Amino acid sequence: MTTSRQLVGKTGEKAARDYLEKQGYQIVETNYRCMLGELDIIAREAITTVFIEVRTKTGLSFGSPEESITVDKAKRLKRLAAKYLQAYGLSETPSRIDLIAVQLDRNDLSVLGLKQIKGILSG
Amino acid sequence: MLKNDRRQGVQDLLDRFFRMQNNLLKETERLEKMLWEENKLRQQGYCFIAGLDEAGRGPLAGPVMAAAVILKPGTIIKHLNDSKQLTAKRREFLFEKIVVEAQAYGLGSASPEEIDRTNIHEASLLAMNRALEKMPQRPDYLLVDGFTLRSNPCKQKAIIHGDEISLSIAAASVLAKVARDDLMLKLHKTYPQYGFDRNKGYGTLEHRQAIAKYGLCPEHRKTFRLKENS
Repeated sequence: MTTSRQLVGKTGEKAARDYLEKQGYQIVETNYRCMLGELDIIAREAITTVFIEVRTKTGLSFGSPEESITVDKAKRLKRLAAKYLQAYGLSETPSRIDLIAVQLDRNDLSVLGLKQIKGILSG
Repeated sequence: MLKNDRRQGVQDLLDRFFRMQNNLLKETERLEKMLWEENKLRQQGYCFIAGLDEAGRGPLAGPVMAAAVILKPGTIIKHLNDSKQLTAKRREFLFEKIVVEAQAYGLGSASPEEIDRTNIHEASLLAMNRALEKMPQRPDYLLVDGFTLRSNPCKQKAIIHGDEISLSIAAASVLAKVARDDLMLKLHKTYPQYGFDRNKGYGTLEHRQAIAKYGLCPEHRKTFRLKENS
């Protein structure tokens, strides 16, 4: 039984995945879970490992997706990314954390807009 | 004890703090009161209680939209009230919250043609039944604002002014109103003369003047009276 939260989130994540594949990214893993938390999408762009956080919103106006990431969330993303890289021996290879904001129509949950912000957490 | 600190800044901070605590408490109490029907039903053994409401009974144009919402037990969504008591901004914020926090929800509508073919009441019932069909969870009890769904075999209760009494119905009223408003904003792009982005199809002076000037469009409910007069 899908709950509302799952429906909205899953629709957003699927939109993000489709977009990334169109952009030529290779989807390596989705919903990577470990003790620290969860990474929505792990993809590869050429040799760079890209960690993507997906934010889904409903409605007609976009708002600022950057504002929806709290300091704690940012820290957790950095730690999760580092852990993943270490687990796969990729700590010395280039990596990046992106945010994809998806906007869904309130009536039918169709995708109204999608924005990718690359490298949101510097350093 | 901070209370004994004579500094004005500290006292102001304390005032604000206690006022905030008090408001939070009052708000939680209000929300809990609005869950009275749902909690009573849960005690009787019902698990999936759906609140139903519709939006768009009165307008001269556009569909009538209904929403069905099943809230998780003990849901706290701050400021949730019946849609008429909320600002548009708050409604939009709450739409997001409800859609994510709810156990399940469904949106349904009836078109202007369907309203013309039957009547607004039948069309509202149709929209509500469609909302229930779209909901991914079958309810075992319905709380409906204002009237019963005769054609629906599910156990149900009609609550007059239900959107002020039951949190589930209030949630449904917010979903229906916001979804319908969005739809009217979209229709405004197709038929820009009537000001649907502002009046949402309701019979404001501006709208009626536009009808006098441009006539009706396919989204108008032809059987609604007072449309030809302006």
